[in-house]
Amino acid sequence: MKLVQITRAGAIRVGSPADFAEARAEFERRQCLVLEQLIAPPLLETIQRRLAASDFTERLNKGVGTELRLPPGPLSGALEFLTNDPVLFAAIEEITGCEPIGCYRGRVYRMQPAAGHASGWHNDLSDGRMITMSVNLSEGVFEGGDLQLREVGSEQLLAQVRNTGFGDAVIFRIDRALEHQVLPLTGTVERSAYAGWFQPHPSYAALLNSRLEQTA
Amino acid sequence: MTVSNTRGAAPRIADDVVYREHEGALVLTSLSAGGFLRLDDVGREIWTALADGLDVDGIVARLTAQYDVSAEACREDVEAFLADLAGRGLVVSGEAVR
Repeated sequence: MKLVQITRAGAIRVGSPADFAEARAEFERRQCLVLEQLIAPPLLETIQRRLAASDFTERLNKGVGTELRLPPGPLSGALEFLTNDPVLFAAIEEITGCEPIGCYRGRVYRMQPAAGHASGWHNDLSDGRMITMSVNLSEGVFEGGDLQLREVGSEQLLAQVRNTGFGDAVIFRIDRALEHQVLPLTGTVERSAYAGWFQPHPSYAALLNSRLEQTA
Repeated sequence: MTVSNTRGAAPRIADDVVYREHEGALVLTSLSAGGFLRLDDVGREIWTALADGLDVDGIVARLTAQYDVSAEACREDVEAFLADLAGRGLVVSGEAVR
């Protein structure tokens, strides 16, 4: 479902009120939703081109394994700028019913098949995190890597999502009663994603104000 | 750095520049160069004209229709502004895009 799209000129709402009502109902039922083409195709191409020219560093992610992570720099700063957009915040709040969002804190990672990247069941509860969002930045269609979501103590899945659509994002609720895991990648195609959390604090807007330079 | 003249290629927004509203202003950044630039009102008008695919002549025409300024003074300011943006890698010379 296309609801909101991030373009080079900021986020725009593309879904109708009926689309948002349907999305909210689905999110309520599954605690999870795919936002198709969250990143507009022309912007995605630009991001992928920059990613391909970037150096990643190995980083141990406790409980997940070693992942390749994009170090802080212009590209990660621009992605942070684009995803901390009030239009996107309003859309996420409307779909999920979460508290007002102050920021989205994410990281770009790359995972390769056969490297053993996977996670056991866990929740992302920390720092007031409310909603997880993972944006697919991969250039190819990877295999495996499914997200599974369930209620704690249940064997029945609320959702199983393989987020392979180019520029698509999967969002899901963080709650003490929920847990999730990501299955290992298979095949030969690596996965790149921008993943992180919507939180009530700190305020990205205030952070951005401290970084601004004014034109003369 | 000169990025524009009435006979040369029109300036355009660099491919890896992104921008959006922030608290009533327009803020720009570059996926390759970083930094966050906040445009004042006139800068925003020029940027919007660039995004609309206008060349320098078109930008000057648009601004002189809105503000009490001579075409000559306006052109001087527009070219200085574009040169500043070009120095930051935010604007390049090339075919205007719409």
